Amino acid sequence: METNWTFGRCLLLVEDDPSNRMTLSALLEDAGFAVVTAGSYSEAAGLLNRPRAYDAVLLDQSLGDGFGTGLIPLVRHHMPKTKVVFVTGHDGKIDMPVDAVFRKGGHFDDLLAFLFKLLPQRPLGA
Amino acid sequence: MAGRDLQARERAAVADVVASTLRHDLRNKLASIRNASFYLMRQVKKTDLWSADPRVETFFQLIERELTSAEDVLSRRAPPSTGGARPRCSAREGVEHALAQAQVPSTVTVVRELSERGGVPLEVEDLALLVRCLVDNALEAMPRGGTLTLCTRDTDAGVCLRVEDTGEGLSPEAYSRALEPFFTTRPHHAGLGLSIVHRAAVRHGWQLDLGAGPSGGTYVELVFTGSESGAHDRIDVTRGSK
Repeated sequence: METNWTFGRCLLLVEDDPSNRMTLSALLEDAGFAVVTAGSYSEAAGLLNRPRAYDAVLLDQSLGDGFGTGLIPLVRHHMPKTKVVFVTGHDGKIDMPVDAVFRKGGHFDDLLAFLFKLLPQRPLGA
Repeated sequence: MAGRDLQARERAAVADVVASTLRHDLRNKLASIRNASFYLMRQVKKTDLWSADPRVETFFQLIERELTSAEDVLSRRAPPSTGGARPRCSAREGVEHALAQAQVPSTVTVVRELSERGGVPLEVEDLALLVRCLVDNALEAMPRGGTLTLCTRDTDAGVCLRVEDTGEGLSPEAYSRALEPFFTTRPHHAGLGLSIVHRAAVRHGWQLDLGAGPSGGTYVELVFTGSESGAHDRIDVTRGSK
């Protein structure tokens, strides 16, 4: 994996669990990403209605006041180049209109390698 | 006998939803612990403590090992049953089974519009359980009476089952949370009925839709997609779209 490949990249992390949000955003920032977080469906919808060049949106499904899948059309409409990664702790096969699915509980290094493969070579905000 | 069988299936379905919810919640906790541990390990590695006390690394490894072990326990599932003919039943038979078990008050009029010809890829008792969950929800939405409509019809995607009440309907927040386990707008209710249906829909790849009907009450539609060819894995859950 290239070094500094995360530089200039921005992620939106949508996660209603405060501990998960805090730890994952810390690791992502530590890896070099700029990270914007949303702790609920409504907060995420508000952010997505103010388009910004997110390289990827990491989306949890159960958000307390709604489901992550309900946010996908907003991303597709406002940010068609942004990758949508469904981050889930649910069992079973997931077949949703997202670019990738990542299972919760995996190693952070696996998530980094996963994002490295998924994201285009140049940051969207570059 | 049929009533006891339905009760047993209902208990199993409730246990399945509860277990799935617990697995999901525990996975969230484990993910936080793993991320926090990984972050701390990387920070401690930059300090003298890392080399001064070898137990620090050992203990981080221990945390990682135990987390992996806990994940394995959570992921351990009963193997899917294999072999045997795929179950199949008539939707109207499932509807009648469910209505026979439901306690319909005299203030509620039951309307049946059962026109489907295709089959549903379930045993009739399992279908009856899903219908019963929807019927119970609909009845609870009409404490002062009303009309309960059960409709089955063929669609291009498969047999469609629709259960509709003429109650007061749900708030926008209740629509967005209606499929969550343990979410209920009524005191003394477990809030598992729609979760059981949702979980079955996700597992089999059926379409599930709920929204406001023409009377202002709530409808739930379940399309048993792939009825002719058996279950597949697509998940298509929408809500409040009509």
